[in-house]
Amino acid sequence: MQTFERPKIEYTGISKTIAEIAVVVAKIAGPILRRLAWFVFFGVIIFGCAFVWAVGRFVNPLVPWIVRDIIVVAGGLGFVSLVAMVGIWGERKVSGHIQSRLGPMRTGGWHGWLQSLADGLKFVQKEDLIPASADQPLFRLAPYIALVPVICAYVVIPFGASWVFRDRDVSLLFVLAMLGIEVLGVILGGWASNSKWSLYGAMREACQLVSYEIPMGLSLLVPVMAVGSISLVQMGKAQSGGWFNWLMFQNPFLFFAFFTYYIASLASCKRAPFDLPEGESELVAGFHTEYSGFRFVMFFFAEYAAMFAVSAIATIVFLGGWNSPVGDATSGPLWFVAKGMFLVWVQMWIRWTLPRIRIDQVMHACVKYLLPFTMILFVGSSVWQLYGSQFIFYTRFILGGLGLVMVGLFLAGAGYGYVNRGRLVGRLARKHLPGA
Amino acid sequence: MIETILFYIFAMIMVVSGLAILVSTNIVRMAYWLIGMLLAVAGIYFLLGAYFLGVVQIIVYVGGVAVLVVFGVMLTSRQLASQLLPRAWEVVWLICVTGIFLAGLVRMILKGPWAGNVKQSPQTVAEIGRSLLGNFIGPFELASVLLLVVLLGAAYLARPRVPTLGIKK
Repeated sequence: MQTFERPKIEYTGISKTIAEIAVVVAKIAGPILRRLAWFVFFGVIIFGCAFVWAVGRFVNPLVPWIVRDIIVVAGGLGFVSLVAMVGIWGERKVSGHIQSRLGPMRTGGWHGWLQSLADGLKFVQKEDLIPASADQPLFRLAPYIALVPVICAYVVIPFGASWVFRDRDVSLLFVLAMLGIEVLGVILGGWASNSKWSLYGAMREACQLVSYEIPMGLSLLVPVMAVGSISLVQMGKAQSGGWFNWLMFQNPFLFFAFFTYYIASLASCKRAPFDLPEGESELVAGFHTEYSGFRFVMFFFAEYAAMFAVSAIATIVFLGGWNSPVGDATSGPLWFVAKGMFLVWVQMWIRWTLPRIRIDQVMHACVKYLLPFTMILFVGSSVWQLYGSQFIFYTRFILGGLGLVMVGLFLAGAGYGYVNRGRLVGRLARKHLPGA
Repeated sequence: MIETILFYIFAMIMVVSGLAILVSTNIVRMAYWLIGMLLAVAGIYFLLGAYFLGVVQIIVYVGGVAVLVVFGVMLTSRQLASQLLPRAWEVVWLICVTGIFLAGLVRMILKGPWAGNVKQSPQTVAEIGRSLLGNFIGPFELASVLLLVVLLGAAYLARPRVPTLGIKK
């Protein structure tokens, strides 16, 4: 009997070096990190605060712009990677807890917090497969087209009043443009794979994105009209003073525009219930069926970076950006990151709660309900600009109170879940945990 | 100094991808070369300080038209490539038309009255908005009516040829 033997390949080059270095680092740092997990956790928070203070004190006033730019670009890239890593780990934890599981528990000791790093190292070592009938150069190009624009979008996103890499008066449009280019990478990846599953995923993505861009833009026009600027820094500065000054609570149309924007942004990041481009139950893995190894990671990274980018837009435009809900004394980038990560978490919550909808239902929901609704919001908001200014005091407190009630309900639900957390996971699962 | 280098980089990308659109026979690759060229044009707008124009270039051309191009192109078969090669008499026509166009462009670039210093405003968006709804409101409204007509025309062309309502089989 003839058996097929896989040809032995000695892997060389940069991926082997990375893997070797990682193994050495893991051997030395693994036990130490496992023992000191809590110190690492608080250390990261303290280091974050110290970093925030140091950048404000030393880096921002730097005169040679190239030094400042290099530092800020390195910091931005680090932030995007950190967001993607925390996001991927968080996604698995959130999905686990919603499905009465625990999610990753072993890697790194405390609740598997090193899981994304381990996954990344695993993907680096994987073979880079390219199908024989694929369009080679385009197949290789697609992950870069998906990833690079999303990172470019962070160029104009302000983390604080003076915490922005380039403050331009078109920054909102710039972010939307960059998120628009990202889709091209997805479509290209789907087409170049030369597989029907990928092509179906890409077609759905194109279809869905072109239609959901319109309600997204229209619902962003409502706050743009209220502020009179499309610069993200200007929009953030207009909302200082407290939670009742946030744009979301300024008038009823803005309040609903936040929700329509959020729904449309779910569709533009291909998050559930709009994750048709990668419908696992129908299309294997959608547009990235044929991708393996690090190219797949790049698509994954792009998705999580885009999730934080749309949440950052929602934060700055509707939820006050870097302004703290109580007074201006504590305003800063940490508030911005906290709000953005909260919205990312809500995206995960929605993803694991709602079922996926069909493509005709996606189009139906957009064209027949979301689009007319955002148009009504747009027209209503322009009328409000003319005649509504005398009610501003009452609307602020009624809508702001509504927001407070929502936050209170959310905290009550979270507290109930925390008190009853023992009921989420069975005794058998808990008995086998490390340290049980 | 650095602006000159950046200009030449963008110009090189434009020229190379423009030529590549002509040379390549795969229609999807042509679309992606076109996107590369449009992005390089946007880069030149950014270099000139016309941020609004650059961003709109990306949103309208790259984000909108190119997605539609790719979307339509993906539905065509891969055997189309051989039909895209021009015939001999078509080549003659093409050379004539492009030659005349090129001559006009070169003459305009060499002889045209170039303004020396263009006034640069820090608030481009606000000024564009004011002039669109101020001095140029007529052309602006005409353009929007034209777009509406195009939208209705596309919907008319795309509907089924035979109206099925009220016809019994």
